Formats: sequence, C-alpha cells, structure tokens
Amino acid sequence: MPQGDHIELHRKRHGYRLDHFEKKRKKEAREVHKRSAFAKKVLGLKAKLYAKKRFQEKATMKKTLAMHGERDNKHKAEDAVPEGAVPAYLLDREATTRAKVLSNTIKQKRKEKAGKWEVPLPKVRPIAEDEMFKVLKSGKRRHKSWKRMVTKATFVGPGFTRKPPKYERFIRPMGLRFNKAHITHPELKCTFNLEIIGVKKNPNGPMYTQMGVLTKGTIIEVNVSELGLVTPAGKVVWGKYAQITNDPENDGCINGVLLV
Amino acid sequence: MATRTQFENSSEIGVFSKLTNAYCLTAIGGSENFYSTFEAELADVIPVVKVSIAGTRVIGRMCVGNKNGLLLPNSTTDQELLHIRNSLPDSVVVQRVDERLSALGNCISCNDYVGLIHTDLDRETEELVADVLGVEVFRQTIAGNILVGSYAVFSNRGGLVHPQTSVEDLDELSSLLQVPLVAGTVNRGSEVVGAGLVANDWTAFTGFDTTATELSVIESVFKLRDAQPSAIVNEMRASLIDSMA
Amino acid sequence: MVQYNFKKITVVPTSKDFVDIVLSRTQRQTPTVVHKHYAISRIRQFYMRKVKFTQQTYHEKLTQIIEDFPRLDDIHPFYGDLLNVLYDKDHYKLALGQINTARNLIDRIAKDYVRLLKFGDTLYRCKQLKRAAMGRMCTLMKKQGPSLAYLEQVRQHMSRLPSIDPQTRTILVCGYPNVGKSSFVNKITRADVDVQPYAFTTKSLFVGHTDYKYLRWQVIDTPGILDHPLEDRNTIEMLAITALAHLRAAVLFVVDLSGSCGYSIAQQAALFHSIKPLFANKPLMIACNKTDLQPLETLPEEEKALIEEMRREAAGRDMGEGAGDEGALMVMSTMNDEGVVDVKNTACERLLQQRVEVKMKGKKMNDVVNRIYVAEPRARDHKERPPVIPQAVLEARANEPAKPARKLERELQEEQGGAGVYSAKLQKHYMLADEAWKDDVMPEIMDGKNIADFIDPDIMARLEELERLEEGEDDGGEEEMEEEDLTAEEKEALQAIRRRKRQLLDRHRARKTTADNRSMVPRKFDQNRELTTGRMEEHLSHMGIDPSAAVARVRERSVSRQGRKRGRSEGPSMDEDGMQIDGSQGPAHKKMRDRSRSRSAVIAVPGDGFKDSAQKIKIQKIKRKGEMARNRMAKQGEADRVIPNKMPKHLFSGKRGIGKTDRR
Repeated sequence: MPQGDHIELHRKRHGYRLDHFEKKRKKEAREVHKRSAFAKKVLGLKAKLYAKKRFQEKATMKKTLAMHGERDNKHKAEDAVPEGAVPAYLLDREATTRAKVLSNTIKQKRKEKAGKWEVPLPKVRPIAEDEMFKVLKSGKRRHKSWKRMVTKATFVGPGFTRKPPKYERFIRPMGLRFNKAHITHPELKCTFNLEIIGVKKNPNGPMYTQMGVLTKGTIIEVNVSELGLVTPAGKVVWGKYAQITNDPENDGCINGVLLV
Repeated sequence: MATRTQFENSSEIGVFSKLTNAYCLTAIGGSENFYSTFEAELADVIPVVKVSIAGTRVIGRMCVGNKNGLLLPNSTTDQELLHIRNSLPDSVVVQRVDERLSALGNCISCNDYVGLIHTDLDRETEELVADVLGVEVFRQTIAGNILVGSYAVFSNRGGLVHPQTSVEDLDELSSLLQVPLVAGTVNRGSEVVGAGLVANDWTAFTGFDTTATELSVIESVFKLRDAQPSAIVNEMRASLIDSMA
Repeated sequence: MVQYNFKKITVVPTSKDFVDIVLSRTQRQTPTVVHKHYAISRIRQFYMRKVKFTQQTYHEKLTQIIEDFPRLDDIHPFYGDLLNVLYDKDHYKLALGQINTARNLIDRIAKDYVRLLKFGDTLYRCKQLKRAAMGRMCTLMKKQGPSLAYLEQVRQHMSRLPSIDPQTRTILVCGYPNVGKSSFVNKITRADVDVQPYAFTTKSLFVGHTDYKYLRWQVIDTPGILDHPLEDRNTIEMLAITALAHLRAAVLFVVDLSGSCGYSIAQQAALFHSIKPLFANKPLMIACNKTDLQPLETLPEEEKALIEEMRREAAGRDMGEGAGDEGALMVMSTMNDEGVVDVKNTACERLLQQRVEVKMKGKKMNDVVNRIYVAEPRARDHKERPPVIPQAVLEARANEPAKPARKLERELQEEQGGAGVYSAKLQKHYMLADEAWKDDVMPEIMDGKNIADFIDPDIMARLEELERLEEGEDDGGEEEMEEEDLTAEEKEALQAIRRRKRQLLDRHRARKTTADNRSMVPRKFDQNRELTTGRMEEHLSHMGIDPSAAVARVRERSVSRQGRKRGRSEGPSMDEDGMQIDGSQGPAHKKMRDRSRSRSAVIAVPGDGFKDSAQKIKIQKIKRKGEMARNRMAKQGEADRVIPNKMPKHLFSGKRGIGKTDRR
C-alpha cells in the first residue's frame, strides 16, 4: 500500500464504519426511486437526452437477459420444410429454372441501363435565383446592381484567376470555396475525404454547373486514387462521380455517395 | 529562549509587537492567543500591554523604544497615548514625535545604549531619540537599506541584521553598536528581520515559519539560554552552509 | 529550488463529462435569445460568439490539462524516471500529444466555421452552421475518451506519490527484501511504514523525516532489490533503482547478518557488488542488521571476509578522506534499538560533510560567507553597556520549576466563551496610584475642547514646586532680618513697612496683570486720574439719569474674563429657588423669537425705494399680474437664456475654405 492512501490505511487499521454496508445497501436500493423522481421532474432537452439514455440502457439490459435466457426459453420446434428441399430420389437431378434465369438477366440488364441515370438522390429542391445569388451594389453612387455573389458552396479549379472587377459578374467568395468532400462508398460502407476534381452536373441548371456551385444533388467528380479501385482491365481508376447528399452551405462540409 | 508564534496566521510578528527590556507592546487581536504567548513568557517580569497606534495594529513598525522611553508617531491619538502612559511604569518616558516618516519602527532601531536611525530623519527627531531613549544615535544604512528598523534587530547582548550585509559592514556596525552581530534571516529565509523577530536581553520571539537553523542562530547571537555567538562559527557551521548555500 | 507538487493537477473529466461541461458552459455564458427579424449581422454575431466561446472553453480546458501535467524532460531526472517506471513514458507522452492535437483541431474547426458564418444569410443557415461546428468539436472530444481516462488515472496516482525533494539531504535505505529496511525507517522517523515478516512488504517509495543538527533529513525507504540484471527487474524493484540512481543521498545498504530474511550473506554481498555503480559519488554505509540474532563477532570467517570486503569497498569509494573509514560499517538491531541512532547519526554526518565540501567549492558560497561570521565589537570607548535583565528573570532561571502557574488571557478567553466573545478590559493592568481609578471614564471632548490638549502630566509636581518656591521666597525675605533683637515699636514699624510694601506690590501686580484687559482712558485725557466709574455714576445721577445701566456695562467689561468680544449672554434667569420664572421674557426667549420671524415683505424699508407700504403693495400687485400669464403657461421668461438665431445665415451659407467654419 503506497504512502498517500489515507483512506485505505484507515480502513486497514480500523475497518469500515459499522453501518457502512447497511448504508451502501440502502443507497443502492434507493437509487431506483431517485432515478424515477428525476425522470418525472426533468423537462425539455434534458428530458429527451435522459429518456434516450434510459431507453438504451433498458434495451441492452433486455438483450442481455434474452441472451442469458436463450437456453432455457421455449422455442417453437423448427419442423417446417426448408424451401427447395427435394426427396432423396430427386437429389441427383438437375433442376431447370431457366425461365427464371432469363427473366433475371433481363431485369438485370434493364436495371443496369437505368442505373446509368439513376442516382441516390433523384429529385432535388429547385433553388431560386435570389436564394442562390446575393446582389452586390457597385458604382460610385452604389446604384448599379449587376454584380452577383454566389451564396452557396462552390468548387473553383486550381488554375482559376478572377476577372478584373469591371467584368466580373459572378463572384464566388473565398470563404465558401471547397475542394474536398467526404464521400461514402456505398458498398464498402466507408467514408473517405477525397479531393474534388470537377463539377459534373448541377441539377439546377448548366450555368451553375459551369460556375461549380455545390448544392444538394450535384454530381461531382472526385479523385479516388487513394481507394485503389481498378477497372476490369486492371487500370487504376482515379476519377469517379459522386453525388452530394447534404447542404454544404449549412453544414460547412460536403458529404456524398460514390456512384458505382 | 526564543519562542515561535504568529499573529492571526501571519508570521510577521515584529510588525504586531514591540519588545524591550522594560515593557512589551502587542497589537489588539481578534483572539488572545498572540497576547498570551507574550504574557506567558513575560508578564511576571514586565508589563505586556495591548495597544493600537493611530488606529492600526502595525504597532511594531510605528513605534520605537527601549527601557528608558517610547517614541510614538504623531498620528497616535490622545486616547492611545493615555492608554500607553497608564499601562507603562513611570520610569518609561512616553513621547509623541512630529516626524514626517511616521513609521518610526522601520526608521529607528535601538537597544538601551545605542540607536541607528534612518538617514533622512529630522534633526529634532534625532535629538528626541537621544534624549528620550537615552542612546547614542548614529545615522546608518544596513546592506544599502536605509530602513534600519526593518533590517536590524539588536538587544544589549547581540543582534541580527539583513542577510546580505557584508563582513566589513558587520564589523563596522558591531563596533558602533558594541554588540556581536550576525547576518541572518528569519521566517524561512525572509530578510526583513525586523518584521520576523522581536528580542530583548533575555528572550526573543520569532515568526512561526522560522526554521530550526534560523532559531538556533538567533538563540546563539542573542545569548539566550546560555548559548554563545561563537557557536555559529563552530558547531553550526556545517548545518548553516548546507541549508544556505 | 523547484518544488514538485503533483497534488495540484486539476481533475481530468471523462470525455462525456468534458462535452457536457463545455456545452452547458456555452449555454450558460452566452446569450440565448435571437430572432429571425434581427439584422443579419446581429444574428451572425450571435452564432459566431457561440462557436468561438465553445472553442475557447475547450482550448482553456485542454491547455490546463497539458500544462498541469509535468513534462518528463523538464522535471528532475529522478521524477522523470519514476514516472517512466510507473506510467510508461511513451504512453504518457502519446496521451498528452493527442490532447494537444485535439486542441489544435478544435481551433481549426472553429476558425473554419466562423469564416463560413460570415456568409450565413439566414438565421436558419447560421444556426445549422453553429450546430455543425459544435457537433464536430464534441465528436473530436469524444474520440479522446481513452486518453482522458488514462490521464485521470495517472493524475490520481501521481497525487498520492510521496513528496520527495530530490535536492535536499536524503538518506536512502536499500538492500535485499525483508532485511529490516522499513523497521529502521520506522525507528528513526514517523513515517509509519508497514512492517511484515515477508518479502516485498514495501511496494513503493516511502518518505519519512528526521532531525539531525537542526536540519531536516529526508529518509527514503525503498522496496527490496533482488540480484538480477536490470532488464529483468519489475516495477517495484525499479522504484528502488530509480531512487538510487538519481538522488544525491547517503546510501545505507542494510545487510541481514542472521540470514533470516532468506538470503545468505554471500547473496547479499553479490547484490552489493552488482549495484555498486549506482553508489558512485555517494556516501555509502553498510548497516549490519539483526545483531540480536547473529552478532558480527561470532560470524563464520568466510562471511566475515565478505562483509569486510564490502566495508572496504564502501570506505574506498567514499570521498571523505579520514572519516570514511570508521563509519563505513555499522552494526545495529532494529529489534532492540541497538545502534540505530548511531547509524543514523553517522549517515547524516557523512552526507553533511560531503555536501559541505561540495558547497564550499560552489559559487554560492561567496554569498553566504558573511552569514557564518560573527562580528565581535571592538571597544569604542570605556563605557560599560551591561545587559538589563530584571532580577525576577534571573531568579526564575535559577529555580526553574518554581514558576507559579499564571492564568493566561487565553485560558480566560476559553472559559468565557472563546475568541470573538470574550473581550479583555484594556485597563486591566493599568499602573495607577489608586486601583479605583482604573475604571474612571474620561471624556475625550468636553465643551468642544479636546481634553488631552489640556493635560499636563506633571501638573501636580509643578504646582508643588511653585508653592515651595513661593514659600521659600517669603521665608527668604523675612529671614534676612533677625526679629529677636528688635524693640516692640521697631517691630511694629517693620510690620507697617512690610504691609505697605506688600500693598504696593499687590497694586502693581494687579495693574500689570489686568492692564491689557481693561479699557482705560488714556493718561493724556485723564491726567489727574479723575475719570473713574464712581465719578461717572455721581455725575450721571446729578444730571437726573439712572446710572445703573451704564455702571453695569462698565462693570461687565471689567470682569470680562468669560468672553473677550462681547458680554456673556446669560442663561435662563432663575429665581431664588432655582426655578425658571414662568412668563418672564428672558433673553433666551427673546433670541428664540428673533430667530423664528422674518421680516414682512410688505413693510417698506428705507433703501427699497418705496415711499410707504401702500406704494409697495401696489407695485407688487402690478408685478404679479404681469407675470401671471407667463407663469401659468410656464413660458420662457425674460430671465431665460435665449439664442435669437441659431443658424445665422452668414455663418452657414456659401462654400467654405479650410478653417472658416465660424467666421467669414
């Protein structure tokens, strides 16, 4: 026992208080009532959080109980015949389910064809121009208003140089420029922080595509070289499309799914 | 014998008390502990008096005295003066001084024969010190400090001064004061010895933080309990070097 | 000197608590109400403040953690190694490093989101951004859970480490397990180490303190060490090794002579030789323990030789020249206290010597050389300056226990209700001529005068002296002449002369003392001294005027002791019984009336400029009428300040040059 442990030392010398265990037992017994009193009293966000916590606790408790009781529980006898079971004399015959195969291939093909155009977010909310742009005043008397500032997140290519202010109709502010996105691979169920290569299509219109506006539903091309994907021919894939699934201007980051 | 004590959790007891061969003044505290420390040691022999000066409790720094007299700053109220006069024996002359530097305890340090004073003190005050306290007066500094009262404490038998006083200064001061002197600290290394220590010819009180080494130096140099100053250079040398260097 | 106090590290919360603390702090300490119709800048500012505040709180808390925990490279190597042994340096550094990274990341997140918030154009968007920012910070913190938990454990353990000062005088006790190290420490300190009859009772370092030569000595009890290579040593043994390696201490190698610890003397000697390198530059002593079971003398020869070898080794590597030899081997028995104190004293002495030697060579020695010097006075003159010690003190010293128990104020205080309740009388110990005077109340101020200004402490003495002087004078005058040899007539004549002399003297004195107080008719107008009060009285009564008032006035002035400037106003008049006479309009009453009444406004007074009161009343009426309308509407009156033209045309029109705003 180290030198500083005064409580342990005292216990070692004099033992516990006489009522220590009694008190401990009572405190534990009381705990349930205390918790329920709190649950009744608590309001608002705290109540929500507390309820969630309790729910989780209870769920896990039930699960563990079920797990422990599995051996003793009564189960329904599983005597139903599994699908595709055949009598013994038919076992060595080849089952012909060709029709089904055919229809399956057709379906598959159709699906693939449609898949080219099918994206995880097929529909997006149309964005009005005045939401997209903010009008900037210019001129000496500040009453020319032909300049626009994009209020959404944008992607600007690395070699971009701004036009002289006189000719610059659309301004994409530095603060809202992004060049990385968190892309989830739907099959790997994994998220990577990938570099954006370009904007393929903005569903709101070709102008936005050209300007590189990143809104929800926009298809972007990302650099997947670190994922190490290969084509059937064995080449390393480095550019792949992905769709944005969040509102970047609201979340401060870009999330998306890889289109595979 | 030197006693450790403290005033309301402060070890600067020299601030809150004044000890001479004829009387002892202590500050009025919230409880009687501090007073009783002095009372237990001294009250059979000399009066131990609770006083305030100018409404403050820092009496040790405000006044200066020896067995002949007591000098008080001019901010002392009449009531306090009356109280002190009534409490002290008639042989002690109590006198108020009109001096700009009103913390007399910091500016003057004396025993019953010799006194050191601050270099900027008035000429009248100097005369008053000589007359009332009956001492020879020298204007001096201690290790470059003009507050002689803060950095020197001496009785008729010995004295303790600021720890950085050089050997030459020590010799000079010692010849002036005609008592053996030692440079030292109190209260675990505090150099304001006047604040941490009060002493007279047969007893001394130090702050609560004073270490055993410091205490034994004090006892030796003030010759308390038959100790002799020579002990500092002989028996205690090793301990002193080890604790200081 | 650096003090190591690991007790001051603040508690490290778990990651969940951390998030809760920070978020609730943000909620409590930033504004909570915002509406969408507010100006957008205000909304943005509101949310930016929240983000920044959260980041600041995280930053502060994490910085606190990072700074509280000692950096292993900066602290004394003893502690550095100790912590390494106990908590694993790499793990420790990694945990702190992760906290540091988290702090930087949080700062970056906050910066990014504040930047994005500047472009927030709606309340909704700002709020979403804030939410995202705080969410990301909290997720980051959640991931620090394991690091935080580890650091908290380390903190708890560290706060219970014994506070060892690596610089101070230390005695280090080491040896095989169960040889009696802890018993020795228990004997010389109050550390109260657990002693049990089995090996490895002591599992960590224990510290106790002991006194030697006015100094405080730190005694460290170490766990037992077994004789095997360094790599095989476990944590407990490593503690002892760390202490041996880094503390500049006197090492006490305890040897069990009896072998009752389970290890033979040969084994112990082998251990001694294998850890020898750790004893370098330290005063080393072999303490042979358990002599009650097996005295050194009766030991077999070969074992004696082993001990002798160890002794030689210890004495040889000791740096002290002469003292090294005799102290290198000591015997003791912690069982019956034999030699324990000697061992302690020798160890202390040897270390002290070594330390002093080292320090004498050091630079700091020059600073303290004046402090181990006693300045003895050179005789300046032949004056004796003896100490003033009251007889009572000397007597008390001579017969020590004869001191009567005095009731102290402290005891009185405890009896009468404790501090704050009890208040001792200040007058208790006054030294007055009469005990009864102690309780006399003396007013501070009387009749508007500070009494203390008029106190002359020596008044009685002076009075006495004066009286004595006067008597002496009188006597002196009379004693000059012997009266015995005078005839009766002569005596009478002498007395007459003396009476006359005294009269003259008195008159002269009276005139002299009162002269400057009395109004006198100058000698020029009164050469024959005829203008006296008596004559005036006579003269006035001749003229048929009652002279009493005039005489009273003169008399009053001649007795004007009480007030200089004017006659003393009398108090309320009393009749013979001392009762105030009812209804009599005494001067006090008159004065009262004087004060309470002011002069009527309608009475014309010379100087007003009115002929009579009627005229004054008339004019006042006209004035009041004229003011009536104006006063009723509270309009601007003629006495009010007026600026007729606030913007004078000439000052505000036309083009202006530099410095021509107010003049053109």
